[in-house]
Amino acid sequence: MQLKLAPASPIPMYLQIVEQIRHAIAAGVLKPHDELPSVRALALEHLINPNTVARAYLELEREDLLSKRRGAGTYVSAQAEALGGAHRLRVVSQLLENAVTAAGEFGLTAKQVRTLLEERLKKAEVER
Amino acid sequence: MDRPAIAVEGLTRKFGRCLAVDSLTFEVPAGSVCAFLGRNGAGKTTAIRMMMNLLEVTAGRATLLGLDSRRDHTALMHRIGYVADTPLPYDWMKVKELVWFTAGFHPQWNQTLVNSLLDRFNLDREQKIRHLSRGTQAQLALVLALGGDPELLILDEPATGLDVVVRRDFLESIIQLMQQEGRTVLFSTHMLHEVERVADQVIILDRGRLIKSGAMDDLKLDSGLSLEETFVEVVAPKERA
Repeated sequence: MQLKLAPASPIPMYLQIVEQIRHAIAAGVLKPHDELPSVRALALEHLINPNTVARAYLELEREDLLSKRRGAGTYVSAQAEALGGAHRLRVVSQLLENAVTAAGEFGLTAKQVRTLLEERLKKAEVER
Repeated sequence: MDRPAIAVEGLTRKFGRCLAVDSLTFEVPAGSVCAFLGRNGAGKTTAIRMMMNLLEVTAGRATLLGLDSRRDHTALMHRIGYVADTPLPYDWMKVKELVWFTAGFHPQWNQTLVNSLLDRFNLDREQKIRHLSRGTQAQLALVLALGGDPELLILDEPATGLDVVVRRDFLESIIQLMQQEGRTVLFSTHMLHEVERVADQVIILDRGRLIKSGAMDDLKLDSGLSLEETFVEVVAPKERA
């Protein structure tokens, strides 16, 4: 998994890391029992403060997505897959909300939006 | 984390009628990287020079690592690394001579680290200091500051005039130092984007006074602004369209 961090963003860096790891778990890029890079390695790779990485890992441990094994690093927890479901729904719901907001601003009708969504889903099915 | 690495109380400096630093009070928690920000002439260097006991205070005090910056100056110099915004002294010495000379002041000198940093920065040990470029001098100053294995590293505009690659080396060195428990870094700079990478604490000065301080994450969460937006808002509110 490759993190894409934007230091100049108004979103704190630790939250960017949290969000991207959550996303990677929900998308199955990171699987239960996968090992994460050490705080030190990640900090040096991205030239960021180790405290920032530590804070992100701590937050994800609190959500039970990561678990620390004493003296053996940080891993994706066994129950992370189940917890990822909520994240998947939340992310897609947020993206749909953005689309609906834009549609409202452009004056599209509910019917037009529904048609667009149906077409999209059909196209995705074909591509799959 | 209990005792702050830096505690500044009412620090004040007058130059004639000009109040360069005005009742500055702040704390920097141990184990953090603190960005010391402000426009040119905001008082950053004056404040740092008073903290380093290189300049008399008009009023107030600075406590570093629990020790008084004036009374315990000698003891502190063994535990603090400092990179000034001025060229290196003793510019007639060779690199290896200045390294040896500096090592003499530090009981905890880490020659292995110094050697590896000299190699990484490609510093020629036989070259005279005065023949080094400005960027190379800044690198050497950082190496010398890190050589004493400092608990507190104070950098005054370390990145100014350095190219991107050297600045990255600088950040890397800071991050490597931070891997050790309880190490604290304070650095003044204009490079806001680099600050956002490494700093977890921010102090902003304007015309000698503290106008904003706090944890970087809190600053962003509370305001919803980037550091640059916050900076412009607090130091130049009227200049914004």
